[in-house]
Amino acid sequence: MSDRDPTPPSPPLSTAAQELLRVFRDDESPSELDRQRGLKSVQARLHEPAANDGHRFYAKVVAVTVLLAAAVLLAVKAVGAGVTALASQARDPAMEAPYQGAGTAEGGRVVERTPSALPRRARSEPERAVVAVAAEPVEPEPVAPEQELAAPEAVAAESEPAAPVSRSRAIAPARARAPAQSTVEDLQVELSLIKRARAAKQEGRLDAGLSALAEHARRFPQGTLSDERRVMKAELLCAAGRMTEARDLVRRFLKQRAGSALAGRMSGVCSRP
Amino acid sequence: MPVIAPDPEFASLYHRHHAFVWRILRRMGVPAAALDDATQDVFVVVHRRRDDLHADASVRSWLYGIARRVASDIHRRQRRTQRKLEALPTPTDAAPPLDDAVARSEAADFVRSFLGELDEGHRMVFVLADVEGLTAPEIAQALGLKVNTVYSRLRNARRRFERAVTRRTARSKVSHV
Repeated sequence: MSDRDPTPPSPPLSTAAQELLRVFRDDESPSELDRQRGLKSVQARLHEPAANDGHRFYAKVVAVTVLLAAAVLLAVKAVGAGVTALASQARDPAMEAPYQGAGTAEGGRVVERTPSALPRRARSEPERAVVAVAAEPVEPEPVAPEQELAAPEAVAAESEPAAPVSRSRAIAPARARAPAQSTVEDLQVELSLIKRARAAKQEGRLDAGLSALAEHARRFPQGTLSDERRVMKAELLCAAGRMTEARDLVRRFLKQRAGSALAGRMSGVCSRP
Repeated sequence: MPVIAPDPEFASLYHRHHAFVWRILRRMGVPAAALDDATQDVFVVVHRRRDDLHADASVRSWLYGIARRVASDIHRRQRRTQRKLEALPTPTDAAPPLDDAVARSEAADFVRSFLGELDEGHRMVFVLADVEGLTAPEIAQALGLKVNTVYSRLRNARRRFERAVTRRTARSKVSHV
């Protein structure tokens, strides 16, 4: 206990005990070299751009998630408004007349041929959509804005030959939501793979980390987190002693993605002798 | 590595407390291979949160709290792969004078072995008081204990340490006969 303690609760230790503790303390202490090297490392970490990579990474994930959620909400709202407007048009007798019997092309899918056949309050929202679409004139199907966010396979599915008009219109809200939801799920999978690789790296399981990154590359070659994947792969290769491969990755990344927020971190990979 | 203008205040704090943080992390079970990085982590947090340190607060108590969280993070990350810490070597019967490296190493091992026999509560109080020189109120603040509890644990740990030292000395005399 130090001199500042005014009321030591027990008699001080014997000289022999104090000497043992002094030796122990010296033995446990870092060397001067450790101290100097540590200070340089701390200062470098405080100043280099990569110091905030973790925050940037999570900020990026949050931003993408928020944008996707907003896009889905807007799409749902727009489709809902469109369906409501069409339904109100369909209930107009002047609009109904030319399309009496339009449901015959549906092979029984559209139960009601005329909207007026059912009381308005008795219809559910999907039913109203079907009814409204049945009364709608045939025209080319517009491309939903969410398709820009869709995965390639989802876009391909959207490009298939159109189903009968009333059917495709009836399921339009579901189709509009599907690509965005798929993208959110993809991002979650991407995130889990990157997290797995990061945890493996921190635990020194380099092969497991590289395996997680390989899975990410296979499933999401152009994924949202592909930059993170490339940086982490270079770090893992470097840690595994595969310097040539790591430096090759670094060189290509800096050439292709010089403006990336991760360029600073990448440039530090394998830079130490 | 880029050349960085040092922050004198931070550098001073670093130099004064680097060894303390290092030793405390070590006592918290951070593996030797991770001590360097863990110590850096503590000081990165210190730099980020240095405005949180009040003038009337104990720096070392504050550092202890940060070190505890850093050590906890390391343990969590390494839980799956962490092997048992190196078995603490038992003290040898011989107790040569502390005038050479071997003797010093054996003395340090003796203290490590003694600390390994203490429970966590007593061990950290003893280390903070008699190795690191913290006051009882500082220890109470760092560990979230009452001061009387600190005194009680310290008294108990000191008594046990003195008994262990006496036994060691006795063995030494026997071996030299």
